[in-house]
Amino acid sequence: MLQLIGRRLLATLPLLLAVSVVVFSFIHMLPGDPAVLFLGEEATPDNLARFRAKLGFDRPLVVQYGDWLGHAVRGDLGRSIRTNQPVTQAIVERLPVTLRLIGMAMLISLCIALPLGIISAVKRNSGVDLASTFFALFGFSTPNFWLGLILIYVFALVLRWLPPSGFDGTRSLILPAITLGTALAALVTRQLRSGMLEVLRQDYVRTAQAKGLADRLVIGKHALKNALISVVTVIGLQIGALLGNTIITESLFALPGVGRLMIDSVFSRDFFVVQGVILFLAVGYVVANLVVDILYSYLDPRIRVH
Amino acid sequence: MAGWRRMVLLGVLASVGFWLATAPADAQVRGGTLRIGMDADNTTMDPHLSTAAVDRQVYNNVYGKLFDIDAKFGIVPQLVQSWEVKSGGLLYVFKLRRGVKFHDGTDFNADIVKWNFDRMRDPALASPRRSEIAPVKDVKVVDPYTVELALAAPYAPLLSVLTDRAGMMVSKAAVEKYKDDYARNPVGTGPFRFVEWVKDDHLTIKRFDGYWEKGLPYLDEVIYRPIPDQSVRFTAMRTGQIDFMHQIAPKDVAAAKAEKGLKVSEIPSLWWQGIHLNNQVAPFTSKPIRQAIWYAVDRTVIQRVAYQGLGTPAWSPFPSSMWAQDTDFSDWRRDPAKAKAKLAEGGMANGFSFTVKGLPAQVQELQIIQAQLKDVGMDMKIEQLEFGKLLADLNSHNFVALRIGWSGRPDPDGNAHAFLHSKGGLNRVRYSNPKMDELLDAARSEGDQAKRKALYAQVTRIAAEDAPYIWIHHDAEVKVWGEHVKGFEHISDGMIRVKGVSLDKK
Repeated sequence: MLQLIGRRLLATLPLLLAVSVVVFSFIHMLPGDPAVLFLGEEATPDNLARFRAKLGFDRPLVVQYGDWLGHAVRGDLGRSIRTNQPVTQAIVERLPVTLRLIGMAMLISLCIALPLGIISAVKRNSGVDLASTFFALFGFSTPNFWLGLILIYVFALVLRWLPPSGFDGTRSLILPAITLGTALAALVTRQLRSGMLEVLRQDYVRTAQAKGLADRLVIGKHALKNALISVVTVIGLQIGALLGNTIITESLFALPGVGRLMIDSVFSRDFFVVQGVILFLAVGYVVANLVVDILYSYLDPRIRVH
Repeated sequence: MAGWRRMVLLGVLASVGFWLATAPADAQVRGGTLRIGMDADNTTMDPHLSTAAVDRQVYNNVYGKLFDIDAKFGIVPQLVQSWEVKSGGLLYVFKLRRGVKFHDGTDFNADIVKWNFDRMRDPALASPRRSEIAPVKDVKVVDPYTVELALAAPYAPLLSVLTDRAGMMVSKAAVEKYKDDYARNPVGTGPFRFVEWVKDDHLTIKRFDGYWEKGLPYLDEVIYRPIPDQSVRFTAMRTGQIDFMHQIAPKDVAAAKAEKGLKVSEIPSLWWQGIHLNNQVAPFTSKPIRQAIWYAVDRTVIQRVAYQGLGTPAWSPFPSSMWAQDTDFSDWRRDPAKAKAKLAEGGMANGFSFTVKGLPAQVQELQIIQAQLKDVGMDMKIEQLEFGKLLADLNSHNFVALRIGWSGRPDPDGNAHAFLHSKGGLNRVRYSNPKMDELLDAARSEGDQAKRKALYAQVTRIAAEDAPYIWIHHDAEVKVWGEHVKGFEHISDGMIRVKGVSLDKK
């Protein structure tokens, strides 16, 4: 197992290097000059030049990249152009909010998707199945920001059950987590349903049933564990989407998370923050997929052998 | 009998009325926390490096300024106690207020003022304030509480400039201690001291006990919360998550007025919204073509529809909040026949097509203009851009037409000179008219307001004739707060000065 983790981590290094090159060149290709955004519309040309020189933007891109990378590998992602705050500190400050949000979103989506997926497979073409299909369609095709606004309207304004904005403990994350997790719940429901249907047709399930095993055991142990492999794959792939969607969700609900940090720094062309956050998210994505791989080998012993 | 009873009733009513009038209904209670919902987070806490309009909201409560403006746009001294203008506007003598302390305990005095000016003027800092105080040639310390500012040329807007960020005095000791980190560790002389700033979550300031105005401020604490989405911010206001709201969407104003427990205040702002026409790019090199757009646009309809009746139509850079606005001028109303005639005069009787660049938030307004121009044969395409890109295109003159606004300055010079003067720093349309330059320079160095008003009336007329910009709208300055918030004075600059604000409930 340790060998597997080590090998995978080693394999991610070139990937991260590629990500850093892409991120660096993309942000420098973006139209919009950080110097102008920082110094304002009235900035004089010599003020702009001085500012660029101060931040090293007057050097060739390759030199800038090398300099940045050299610091990045030592854990120094630079400082915000605006507040002079170290980028790593800015990320660490915001990470708890984003992690809790994503964690709750996944929890909520699994709480919805697991029962719904299983029941709709077992009771195929029933009313529950139809309802779950409808939910999946709705959940997957509803834009995040719209769902968020509706939830705020209903639960914060009309019912006054939950706060509409800000971060103030778990309660304040319920609406954002539902907003973020609904699409995932929809996807997992569908995936689990088709996975279960496939497994339920297998010989060993029929054998188990023929043995007179209780339905609970047949479905919960024999069928579900096998159907879960595809679900885990989907979740692993969707972590990227979740990370991306935190940008919208955190901005809408005014949460101080990593997604909001990223979008704000893109708008203000705070290059070092954008680079740092994206690199960090890339690492997070890689680690999440590593966890998924480890889960595979738990669910499917055949993978452990290879 | 009936008459007697009525007399008693009247007497009772009268005494109740008397009691109501003398009851301490307006007496302001000390203590409490005011929560303000903002449209965006601060970018930096260093006023000498700030370019975002939102930054000034917090600054006005943390920093003392040399001058401030009052509700009637009069200049009032703040850290300056009295001042004199000498040598025909070339020398300003400031007598400073004594006994003023920074939040870090250091003294405010003439040396500090000189150091602040030197800091803003230091090329190495690249301060955006540098161009604002460019007319100041030299700052001299006369005695510990007197400074002299020598100007290269008379500059009427100087004091007005010193009511904003250029007049905010920062602590020398704090800048030397924190260096670049001063941006997150501000120290001023204002009624509130900085406590903490968790970016995108909240910024907290607390009462400064050593504040020089005795008895102020009332509040213990103010918390600023950035809630970028307008609807969510308004919901936060309606559900009592915040006590005070900055920036409300025009569509929500009616709902805010109808909501129980909320107060809505609506006054003219300093803003102008308009379309920049690139005077150096065809077809807008041609004056009649620019004029055709001037007459084709119906500003009243835009005000009614896109701005839901808030604010006023604009025909110059001067909103109604300014004494410089020329209300006698009326040649700005839609006139399709004249627009068509101007098109013909410019040799484009069959119309033409061009692209306007703008923000996604302005699409509705641009679509209305699009339809109005279509009526007279002009085909306007809309290109939506993100703010950073829009600004980059504006600054590099990379546009034919571009829709952007200006937040405005208390002195009319700040709304016009930079845009209309051939050497103006914001003249991205590259408009040049020697007569205009002359008028703007004269208005800048003239000290008499009546004479300046006459000069700006001429500026208004020539600008309308040349039409380098199509001014569309002056926004309303709207603030919303809970009824429990007392003592807020609403001024057109939109600043939330919390010094005199108190809360009913504790």
